Amino acid sequence: MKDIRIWDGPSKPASGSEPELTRRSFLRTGAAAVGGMAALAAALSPLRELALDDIPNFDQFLQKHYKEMTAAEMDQALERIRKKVEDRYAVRPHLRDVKPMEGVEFVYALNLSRCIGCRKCVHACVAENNQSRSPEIQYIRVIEMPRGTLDVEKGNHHYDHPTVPDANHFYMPVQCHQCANPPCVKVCPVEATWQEPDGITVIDYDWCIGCRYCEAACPYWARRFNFAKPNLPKDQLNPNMSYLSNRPREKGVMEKCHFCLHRTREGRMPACVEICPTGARKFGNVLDPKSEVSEILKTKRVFVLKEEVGTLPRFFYYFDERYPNTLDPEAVAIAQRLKVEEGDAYGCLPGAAGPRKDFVAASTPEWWNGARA
Amino acid sequence: MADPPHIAIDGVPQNCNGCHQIFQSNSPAGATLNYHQEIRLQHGLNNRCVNCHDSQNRERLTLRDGATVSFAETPQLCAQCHGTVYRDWERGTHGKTLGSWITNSDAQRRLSCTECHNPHSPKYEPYRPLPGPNTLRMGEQLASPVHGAREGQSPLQRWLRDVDPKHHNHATTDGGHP
Amino acid sequence: MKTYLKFLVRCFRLSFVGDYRYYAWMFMLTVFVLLGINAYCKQLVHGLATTGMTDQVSWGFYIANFTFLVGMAAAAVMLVIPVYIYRNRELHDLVIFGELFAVAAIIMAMLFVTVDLGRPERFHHLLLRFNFPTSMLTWDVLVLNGYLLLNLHICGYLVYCAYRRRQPSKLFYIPFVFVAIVWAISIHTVTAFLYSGLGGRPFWNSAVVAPRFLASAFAAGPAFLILSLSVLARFTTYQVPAKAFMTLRNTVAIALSISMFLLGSEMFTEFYTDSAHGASAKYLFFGLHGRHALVPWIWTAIALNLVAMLLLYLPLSRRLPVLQAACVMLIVGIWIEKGMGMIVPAFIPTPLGEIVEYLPTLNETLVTLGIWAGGLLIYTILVRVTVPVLTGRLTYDQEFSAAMDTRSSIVATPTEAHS
Repeated sequence: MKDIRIWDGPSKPASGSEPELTRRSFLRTGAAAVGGMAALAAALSPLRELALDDIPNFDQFLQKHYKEMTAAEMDQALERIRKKVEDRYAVRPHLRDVKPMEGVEFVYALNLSRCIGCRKCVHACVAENNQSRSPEIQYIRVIEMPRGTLDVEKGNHHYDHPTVPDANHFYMPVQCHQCANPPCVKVCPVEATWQEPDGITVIDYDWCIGCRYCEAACPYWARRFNFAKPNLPKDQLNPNMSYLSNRPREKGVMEKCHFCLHRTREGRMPACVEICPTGARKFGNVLDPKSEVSEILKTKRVFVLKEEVGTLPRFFYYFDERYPNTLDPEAVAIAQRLKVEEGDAYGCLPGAAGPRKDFVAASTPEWWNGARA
Repeated sequence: MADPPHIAIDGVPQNCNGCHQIFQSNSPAGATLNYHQEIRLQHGLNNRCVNCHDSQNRERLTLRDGATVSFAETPQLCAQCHGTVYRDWERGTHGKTLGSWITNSDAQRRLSCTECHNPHSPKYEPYRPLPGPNTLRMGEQLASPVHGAREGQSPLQRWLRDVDPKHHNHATTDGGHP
Repeated sequence: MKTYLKFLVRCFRLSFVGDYRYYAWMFMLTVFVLLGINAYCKQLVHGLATTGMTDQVSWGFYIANFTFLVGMAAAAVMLVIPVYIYRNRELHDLVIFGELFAVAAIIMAMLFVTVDLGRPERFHHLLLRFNFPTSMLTWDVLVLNGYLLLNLHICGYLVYCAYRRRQPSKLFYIPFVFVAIVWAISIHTVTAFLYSGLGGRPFWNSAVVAPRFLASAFAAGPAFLILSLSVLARFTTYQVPAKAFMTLRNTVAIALSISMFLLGSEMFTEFYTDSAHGASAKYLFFGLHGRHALVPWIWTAIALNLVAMLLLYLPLSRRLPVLQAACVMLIVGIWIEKGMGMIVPAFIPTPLGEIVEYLPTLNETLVTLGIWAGGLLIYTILVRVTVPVLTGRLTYDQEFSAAMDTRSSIVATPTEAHS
């Protein structure tokens, strides 16, 4: 390789030996070294403020990924977490690892005609799932939308009327949609988040490295990051917890809605469903054709947010067919005008003996009846 | 709702018929009420007591064909006018279900009409909404830019400034939860 | 082996030797590094709340600098390609400085990712459950580390051969050079795919992101090399052929033009379509709902890039000071465009339509400066060691003092350099 001439430069004759280590140069080097170390020590000094329980102990450091832990290792991890919770919150938690149920795929449906924007779900969720109170972490965001649009950019997250619902708005709560094709799972570099057989996307809080790629990837802004050490008053801890859901989190990891899996995998309703004063929130097993959510998917016009991004959410929005007259006095007037016709349409003419069930049955498609039988 | 309903009068539990067998309502139109002043009847066109309450037996509800049902069977009564809603409620797409999502499990309980709606005034009362997102209300312009614009930018920043690392417990007392 | 260890020891000792300007420069960098370490320690204690990032804008300054630096690293090939593919002789010996900078840039890029992590102590989880090939971040980890090793090998091998006065064996570096060329393009492409693969962020979800990244990197990288070669020519005896500057100038001018063209294409698509997906672009260029923190930045960047482009096409920039000025403008312009202009607006408005602005905090800025200072420190040391080796003042058969002789050989006085 003749064209590489990088050693061709003018070479100087050797002049003398390696420089002597004089007393002066020794002192100078020593002083510089000491000064450097002192400066480094000063730079590192903030580390002294690291709280002891912030530093992972040996067991936690070596803890395996959720899917790799044996039963015994899981027991050990659970015991470690119980102890930590007890140390921090002075409560012995009922902590376990709840596994998904066979033949269950959870689906959520939300009736936009019924939601009044009271934000009870938001706060029930926080109380149930031990989120940090300050800085505040909430999984549900209720957006106040002007009528006539579904463009969230026109919505208001911070509405603060004396009372809700406001006559000119409807309310759209958004939380994790537990997508069947979750972009957050796809992007996680360490598989700290994955989809469970029952459709819930979970996070191993002990595995997450906090890169926040999932947060960037989520089209529903459903994921939250612990930018600081979560702050949860002792008396507000919910001791009923599970490994993959609401056990207290650490600083620097992601979290998000998990359909209250510590409740729902034991047959109970999620906290947000339980608290909802209007029954706008519906939850159930879509593999069961008789479940409420199956009925909604079959009989209501449902839609999902941002269908174009191909995430296949398990969270559906729907409207009731009728304009909710509770929100609109005009609708009452219309109803008065139409009273006879409307009653007729559903077989409840004044004087009739309740709804004619045969009419209801006849007006619904075959497969719907089949599913009911 | 208890069936039949009862009420405490002077501390003595009474059924509806306890009074109504003595004081026959002589005004079927229900123009004026001397009793039940607390009831605000705001049910649209349905503005007469005896549309729903059986005029003979006040512990029963009357259907349009003259048959009566007990208070526990309210949905049948409501369904006479609210057919679509009744249909949805039967399917579970309207109304609230508690206890369990497992269909037909013992724990599952679907609330009936009057457990959510006041039958005399079925429209929901307006609610005072719970507080909106607070800590993450970032980028909001501060009313008075006392602190530098940079500091004012982020509530997380403000939070960090408020929480002196030496007084970590201080922050616990002012959690965002109501 | 013993010779090699001695080589390393000599390199280490050499990095502490220089004249007062060298010491001043290194001292300044060290101060910034220490400030950065201090700021990072605070971040470790209090969490990423010490940054301006929020759940709404969850990536900020760190990732912006990371993106920019990956581009700078990739741009090292803009020197390698003319040399090894087009046999351009002027750039021959300069290739190594490009690759040394690639090493420093990759290290900086990796540091930026590391400081962005919420749980850096769990870094080993990457080794235990590597979500490859699904996660683009794992691709990035692979290609960045691979690129670092490739460049370390190529530079290290060539320099050590020069030190041993040996003819470098073609087999040991030419294949690596060609792999490195493809690899360099891959690192920036993968980094672009990191963003453009996210359907939930329409601002990033564009096929033009990767070409734009490459074009802007191939402008900023050689521009940085022009600057560092200028420093080299000014302060050392190392001879930088004037033609090298002109070759780099052409590269920069063309790459910058392509970059501006792609930016224009992106802007046309966003603004002519005028769909809801253009909200982030609207925010970036014109502000949205009364929020316009980034507007002055992006227009500054565009103005700097346009002026730089104009200068580069004018004969005026054949004069070194003008060329240097154009390079500085361009680097700053691209840094803004790719950093604040590419990463931050994708988060504004959020997928739920909330508009939350982002400004880096002081602590975050200090960490960023610290990493930059650290990278420049590494680059300075690498160059400091490489120059005497390449000019034949530090070889295995010479005494160390030859290289230590700061006045006459390493750091020439300005008059000497100009002679």
